[in-house]
Amino acid sequence: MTTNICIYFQVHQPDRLRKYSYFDIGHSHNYEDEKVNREIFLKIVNKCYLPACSLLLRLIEQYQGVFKVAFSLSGVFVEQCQRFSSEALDLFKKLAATGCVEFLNETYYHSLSFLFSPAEFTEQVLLHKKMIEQEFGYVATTFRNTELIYNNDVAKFAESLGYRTILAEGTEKILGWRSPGFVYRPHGCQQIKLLLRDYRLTDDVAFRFSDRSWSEYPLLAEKYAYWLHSLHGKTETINLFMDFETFGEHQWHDTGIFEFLEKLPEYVLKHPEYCFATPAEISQRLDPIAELDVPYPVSWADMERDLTAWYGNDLQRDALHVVYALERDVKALNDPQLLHVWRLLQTSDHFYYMCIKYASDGDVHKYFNPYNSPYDAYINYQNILVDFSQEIARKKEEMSVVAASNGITSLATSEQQLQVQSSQRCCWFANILKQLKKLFFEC
Amino acid sequence: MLTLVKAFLLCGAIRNFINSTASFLTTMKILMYGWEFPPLLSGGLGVACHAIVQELARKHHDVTVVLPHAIENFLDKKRVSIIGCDAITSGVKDVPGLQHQSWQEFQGIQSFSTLLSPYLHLAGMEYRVKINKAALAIAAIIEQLRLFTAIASIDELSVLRSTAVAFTGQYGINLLAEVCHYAIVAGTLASVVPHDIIHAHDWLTILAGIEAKKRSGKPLIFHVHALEPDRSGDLVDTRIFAIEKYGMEQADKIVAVSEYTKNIIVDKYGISADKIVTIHNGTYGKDIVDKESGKAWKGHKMVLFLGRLAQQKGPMYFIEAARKILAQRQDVHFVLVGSGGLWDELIRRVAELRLGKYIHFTGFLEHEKINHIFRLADVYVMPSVSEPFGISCLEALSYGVPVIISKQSGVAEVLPHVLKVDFWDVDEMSNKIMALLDYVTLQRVILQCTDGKLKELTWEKTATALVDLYMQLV
Repeated sequence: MTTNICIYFQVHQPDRLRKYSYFDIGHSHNYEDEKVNREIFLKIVNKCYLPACSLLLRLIEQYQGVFKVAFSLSGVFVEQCQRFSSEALDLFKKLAATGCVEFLNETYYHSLSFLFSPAEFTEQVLLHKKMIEQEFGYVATTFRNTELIYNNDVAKFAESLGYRTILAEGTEKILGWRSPGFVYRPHGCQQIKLLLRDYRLTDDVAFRFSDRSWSEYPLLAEKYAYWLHSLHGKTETINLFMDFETFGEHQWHDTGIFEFLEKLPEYVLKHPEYCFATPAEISQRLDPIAELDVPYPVSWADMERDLTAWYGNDLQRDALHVVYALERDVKALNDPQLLHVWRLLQTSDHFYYMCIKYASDGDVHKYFNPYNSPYDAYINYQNILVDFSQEIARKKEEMSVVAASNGITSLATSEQQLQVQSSQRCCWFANILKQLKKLFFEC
Repeated sequence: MLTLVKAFLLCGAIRNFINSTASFLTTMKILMYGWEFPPLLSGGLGVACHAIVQELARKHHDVTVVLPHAIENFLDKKRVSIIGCDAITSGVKDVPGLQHQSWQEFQGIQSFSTLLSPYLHLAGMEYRVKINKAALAIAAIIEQLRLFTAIASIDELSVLRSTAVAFTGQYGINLLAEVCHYAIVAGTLASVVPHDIIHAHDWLTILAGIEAKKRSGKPLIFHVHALEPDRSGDLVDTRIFAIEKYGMEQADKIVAVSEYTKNIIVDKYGISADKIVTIHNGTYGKDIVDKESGKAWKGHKMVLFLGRLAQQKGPMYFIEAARKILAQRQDVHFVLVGSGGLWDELIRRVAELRLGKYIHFTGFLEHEKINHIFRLADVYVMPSVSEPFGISCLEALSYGVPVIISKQSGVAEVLPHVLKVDFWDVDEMSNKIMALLDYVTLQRVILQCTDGKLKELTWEKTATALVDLYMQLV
């Protein structure tokens, strides 16, 4: 029995918001902090994307099609590549060209839209699909929702959009006694297959790799491959889904993470029954072992593995409801620029920063958080929303004024026409009279 | 492995139980030197002293509180006795080296100010000749009693002498005189009052504590509520600074009201960090009463500042933030409660800005009126330049008023869920005030999150920590 190793990398960078105070409302409509976005992006390009992508290209060539990986690049990330570093984008294109890399689809703006507006969710997924096809020439068949947020409804939706595979977090909350090492059928679906993240083995690399107090430190490729091999016969697939920034950014270069990745295929492939596969391939090869019913949403975030990282407290709920309440008005304006701005405000990171759960302790949230406190994040975001709502209202007002004045001009034109017509009629009548007179006096 | 852990935890639990029982069963006698005490209050010192005494009494310890003036107080009379130094005349004659004549001069000064304020601002006041003589007498007494041996080594004594002739007017000489008088008289009480431990609050009383320690040999705790660098920045009054430093060196242990204060003690006074214990102040926590926000001025919101109108408390930053906000909207009012040296200057500034309609000064208010003011407030701002703790902030929160506090304060370290700003950052301060006024969800979440923390920050906990410290020293 072959055991598949399925490696998937998530790549995302949010468009960070600038410091926007109450006093900017009504005066400045520029919300992005381009300077910070550029700085951070270029830093990560150098620490992670360039070395890691180059390494993957080398490995793919070295193993001549045996080594495979999958990627999901958020739309916001790709746009940042286009703005700041075409070098990174080119590397991803090269990876696409190898034929050994699968690209997944997700929401273009890395948003929580599934929870608030199915219509918006669909539009964002289709936008992402189109972008991946255009940039990388890849037609995706695998879907993953933002931060692996998943439940039965997400699966059904993905199936209706034509996807054949969907990813989710292999948490005990949904698995119970079952193993994430098999393919499952989502409840209520007929075609689509579900792959679950083996979080223990993944986090060994993504989190614990450089933790000196960890009992298994240091983690060498040989040891890790041994762990993978020891699962032979017990699993059909080992799904290692992680953030691409693990390589170089979360785990710095000097931890040896790149050497680890370089050696890993060699040691894994020493076992004849082990191979690498992409999610789409696993979906083709393997049948679901059971149905999995997930009525409540799960995700890969925090210890709780649920929605509380973005939707757990009142600050987050309030902000999310306000931004999604603008949908109708924004779309009615038919303004692509405003639509883009509104969608950027939906990126899940903004709400992640408002998480209070760990406000007192230093932890993962703080590491990513550019704000001093979740309250600062909330205040900043709300100030921006107030200004944005005012802009929307103003444009709406303008539009209705323009529409009204269009009505008046057409009225004016028709009046003019009538006048012209009536003067024309007068002329014609005068002509008739003249001719009659002539006729009369000639007789 | 698990059994080992369990055994370890059990031992710890038993140890804690024994300790708490021991402290419960042991009745300690505490000789406490205070300066301010309710109902005569000027700042947080009196509130803290009173609360600590009350909680110690509740824990069945006997406390003798020595104050400059005896006051009527409603503390547990069985456990707490209050002695006012102005009532003591008998023991004073026994003090060696104290000449009767200069004591007469001393008596003359005592009638000066009744409401002793450690924050006396006497700029521009004229002193009469009588004071000069009295000051000379005090300097003589001090030299004789050798109270300021450490100060003498840094030539403070000559400063004292010289001020007897030429005035500074910064801190009235009579305040130092009062402190010396208090030190002599209150210190002698240690011979007659039975006690296990001496607890002195702030520089005003530490000299008395040192004198008491000389007499009884009991351990001395110097409880630091405020320091000269807090009050005056870099331009400290060197005499008071010297007294504080001397006190810190002579005490057996120093209690700081916050890590912030502890750091100042280590940095600026050169005291070893091992000698300092941080014990945070607390609050009595009230049930959140019905808020009447919006009722003060026809539905307009109210932003409150409460504190001495002195440089240390930052009222000028409050006014500048108010200016920024009032330029955008006029449905907000700003109230400053308290009096102090900057009164004139601040009122002039408000008038200059033509904002008198929106910015109000109430002056010093009594307790009941302060309660009422808190109920009317929508936001409480504490823009202190340097605040050792900031009890008023906890009081505001217990009234359900969201707060914005200066990062340069002690209370910021115990409240993770409040909005913090640098005291000089007027832009950010006004931004946060507006956010608290407009975004209802923000207010609600902050109050919810701080509620739990407030229940932990009680005076009872402070007293418990103090008793543990006493037990270690006794």
